Amino acid sequence: MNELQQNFRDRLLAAEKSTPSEKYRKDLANLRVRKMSRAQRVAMIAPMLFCVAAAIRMASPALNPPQNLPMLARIGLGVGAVGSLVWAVLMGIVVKRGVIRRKSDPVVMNRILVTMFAVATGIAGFLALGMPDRARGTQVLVVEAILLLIASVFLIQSLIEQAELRTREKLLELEMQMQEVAEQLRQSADTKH
Amino acid sequence: MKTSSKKEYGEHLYHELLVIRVRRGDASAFEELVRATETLMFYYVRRLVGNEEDAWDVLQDVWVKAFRGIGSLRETSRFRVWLYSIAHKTAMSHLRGAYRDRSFIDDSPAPETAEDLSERPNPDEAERVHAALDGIELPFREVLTLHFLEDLSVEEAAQIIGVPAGTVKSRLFHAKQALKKVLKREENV
Repeated sequence: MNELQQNFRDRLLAAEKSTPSEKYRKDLANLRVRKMSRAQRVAMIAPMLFCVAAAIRMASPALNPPQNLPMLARIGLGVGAVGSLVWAVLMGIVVKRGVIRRKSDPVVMNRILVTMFAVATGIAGFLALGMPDRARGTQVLVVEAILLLIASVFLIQSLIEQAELRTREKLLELEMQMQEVAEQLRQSADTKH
Repeated sequence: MKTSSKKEYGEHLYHELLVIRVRRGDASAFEELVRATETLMFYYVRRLVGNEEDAWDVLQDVWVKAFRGIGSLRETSRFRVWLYSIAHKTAMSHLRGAYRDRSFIDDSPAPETAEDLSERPNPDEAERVHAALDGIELPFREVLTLHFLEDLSVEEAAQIIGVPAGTVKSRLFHAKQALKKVLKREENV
């Protein structure tokens, strides 16, 4: 598009006189969040209580271990308890807030879940190595390895994607800055002439 | 159809930057993206659907779909085509079958000696063209609106509308003829 075509487009757009409805503006403002109904809020209390119960259940043997419970298992249970508690707190915040932030809330919860999963599989792997029944230990280890591999692939993929986006963002910023500088230079050259 | 001015080039870079920021988790960038493209998108959607109120409703659906799908938009430089094609599909499903019955559309190929398709009317005629657009058939109006609003290649326009590139060329040619007729008719009134 040259300057003339750009000018034509601007004038064409200016000819369209319309203001958005109140509903449009309101719905657009709510796009990033989803309001929860009373029933949804109540329904979310159940998994929240489950997380609290799970945290207590895991924390109890971690703090007062029964005999022969390996240290790694205690650590695993401790991590699980903390993770469950964090999840419960997050759900509590969402329930209290009454809205789900569509982009950020699921991301935070997923990250916690993935971290817990990675830690749990790692610990279970170490525990499997120390199992007296070698065949059973190997079986557990193989399953753990597969799960860990899948989780790692997803994690690496997401890290690569984020890195790529970061790089592209920086490049675009640079490109835009260069364009601005070029435009300024062109303008100052025009004034001189 | 394609020789970008600096202003437009900058506009596309800015949109792409915002898309990347949205994909990186900056939700406020989406609002900025809506602000930056809303006027163009409304103009396009308004030319497709019957009235202003419906156009705003359709546009709202477009944003919802865009918000949900933007995470899977891998080629961020294709944002423009992607967004217009969402708008096209949303408007078409709003219109239901009316547009799909294309028997009334003249899709015969443009003559070999056809005029330069990148040509646009004089800016001073923008208001008249705006009014005259309502007087031409929907498929022609759509292709012409896209042509006026964006510096798209024929292939990109074809992707948006969902027809072969040859059909876009043909429609653009016939649309220009139809527009000229409407403008001439109004001149004589």
